[in-house]
Amino acid sequence: MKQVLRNERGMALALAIVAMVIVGALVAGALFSGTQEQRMAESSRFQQQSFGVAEAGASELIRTWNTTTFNGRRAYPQDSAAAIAWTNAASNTGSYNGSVFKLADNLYLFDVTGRDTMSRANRLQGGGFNQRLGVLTRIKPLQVDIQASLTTGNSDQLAGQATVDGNDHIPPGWLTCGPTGAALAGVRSDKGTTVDTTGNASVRGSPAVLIDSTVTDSTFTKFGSINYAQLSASANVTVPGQNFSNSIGPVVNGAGQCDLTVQTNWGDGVNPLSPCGTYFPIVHITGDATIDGVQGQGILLIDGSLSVQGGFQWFGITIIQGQLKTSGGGSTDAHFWGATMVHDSVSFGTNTLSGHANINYSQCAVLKVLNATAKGALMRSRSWVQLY
Amino acid sequence: MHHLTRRGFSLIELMVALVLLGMISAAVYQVLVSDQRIYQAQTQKIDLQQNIRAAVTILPAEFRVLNASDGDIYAMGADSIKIRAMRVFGVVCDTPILGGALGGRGVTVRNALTFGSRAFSSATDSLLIYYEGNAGTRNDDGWVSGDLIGTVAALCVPDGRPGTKLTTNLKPFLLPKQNLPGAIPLGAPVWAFEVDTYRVYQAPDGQWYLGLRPAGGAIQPLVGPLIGANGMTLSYFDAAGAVTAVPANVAQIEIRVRGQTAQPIRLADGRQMNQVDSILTRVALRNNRRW
Repeated sequence: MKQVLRNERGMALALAIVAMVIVGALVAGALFSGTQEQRMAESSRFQQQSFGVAEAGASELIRTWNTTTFNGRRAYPQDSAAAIAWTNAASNTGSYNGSVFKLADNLYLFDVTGRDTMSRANRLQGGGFNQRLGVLTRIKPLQVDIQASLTTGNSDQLAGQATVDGNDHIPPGWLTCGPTGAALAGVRSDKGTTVDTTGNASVRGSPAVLIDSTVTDSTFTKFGSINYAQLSASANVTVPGQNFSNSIGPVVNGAGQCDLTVQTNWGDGVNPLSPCGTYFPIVHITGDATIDGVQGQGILLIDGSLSVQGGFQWFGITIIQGQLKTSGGGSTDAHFWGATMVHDSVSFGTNTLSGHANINYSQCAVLKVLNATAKGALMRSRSWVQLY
Repeated sequence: MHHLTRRGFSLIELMVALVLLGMISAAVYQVLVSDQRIYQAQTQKIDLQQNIRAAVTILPAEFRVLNASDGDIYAMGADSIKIRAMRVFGVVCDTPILGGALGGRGVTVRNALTFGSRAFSSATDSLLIYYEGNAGTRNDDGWVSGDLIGTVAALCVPDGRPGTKLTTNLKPFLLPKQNLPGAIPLGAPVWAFEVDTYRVYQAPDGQWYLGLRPAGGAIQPLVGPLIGANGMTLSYFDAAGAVTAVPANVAQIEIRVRGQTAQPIRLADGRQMNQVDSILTRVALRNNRRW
């Protein structure tokens, strides 16, 4: 009878299992290392992608500069930063968001964070990637050839109490202006024209009258890289020529904010700290206009002629393609603070003039308006900042 | 009586078993050794790749922010570069008094808008402060420089929020910049930088590394080991894409890093040698003057 060896023992199975465990561990280790390396390489790629999205976002924000949102703020921290919501990059490689800090009247910091698509969708372990960078921008002001309080393309007659003053003035209540600058000419006019004063009218400045052959049609129609038509096309308010009477003045809505929907709200230069004190519209009047009151600020573009009576005050730049006629002035000191440019002849203070009809040069008003109405561009140098 | 016969292993059986065991053990050993070699080689290669990848993370971040046209590159060569390395960025919230002496000017920066890899350091930093000049034009905009000689906590003047007052000895303003009141406005950006040198060097262990030498400090390894003195090569290009040797004309820098494994790797044929890998990238300098 064949007997079965019941307690037969061997090591083959044990050895095989041990060998498999060891080999398995090594393979798993190698696989783990390889996977880690792959993840790191992927991470690097996503990081680069996020960086590209952040840069693209910053460029897009500058390209689509929003003058109402950005320029209409007071400098940080008087006003908080303007928040930029998550926006898909044009390349579809991710999204960006951020904040825009107004550092000064003409300086801005764009703080932009970019996320690649996978990170934005929270599909990466560890939360994915953010790349944050900053871009410094400076307002690219309109290149208006301002060398005098009043620049004209034809002869001028001043009478009554009219005064044109090229000395630098700071408008009453404008507390954030720097020191006054050098005086400009009172009247700068085309060659061959005359500037006549009668009665108590006066022209002041350095010099009082500057007859300048470089004053040409383009002085009134070309402003650096853009022309009058393009500037008009960018106006915040476009209205036909009419008699505005005393309808021009700031309007605050029920929420206590400047109401930009009202076509006769042209900002508040008399009260810079009011809600409309930071609103500097470009106003385009497509014909002849008569204005008696009350006030506004910004860039006033008039295709026709302008007749100003009563106590109307304008703070900023005025460009008139036709003629300018002023009379009166009421209890206010001036009609215009800033710089005034009149393409055709100017006739001041006729016999109907009562009180003051003044045109005062104000560097501060000009700069404020230029900074408030123009778009920004990268600073001349060192505009790129790595934020942490 | 029935006897249970127990038979032992014969010598032949034992020898066959031993031979078989030996063969199996040898095979397992070969597998183990091979796996170990692959594992070590893999680890070394990963380290190598991480190393050279680190180089193209660190260097572009340093170069990207340079303004070569305004002198941020002090010296440059194929294996080294000496630069103004930007460390802190801030925004002025109390302006320096200008129009007179330039020494000991105080300028306060707002803490909430200060960014950097570290804090301001009067031991190593110099400053670049935005010069506005005539606010009506961008053509005179630029930067004035000065050595940072002190920092102290302070409050921003317009609003009383936390800031840091930086005391600096400003350097003479170069035309068209003029030392006039108001030339540096509220909100002006400020950069703090130190002068650093990146270069390839051979360490006492005989290996070659990409090192960082801060101004007045000793060189320290950043990335390595590299394959040798040519382990990192820098090439410089101007705005037109042509190679340039003029620091002020540099618009792009090409970085080529060639690294090797820290230890030799045993190849399948038994030879041992270091594995080599390389990486190439090109960086555009973002902060050059535009006109």
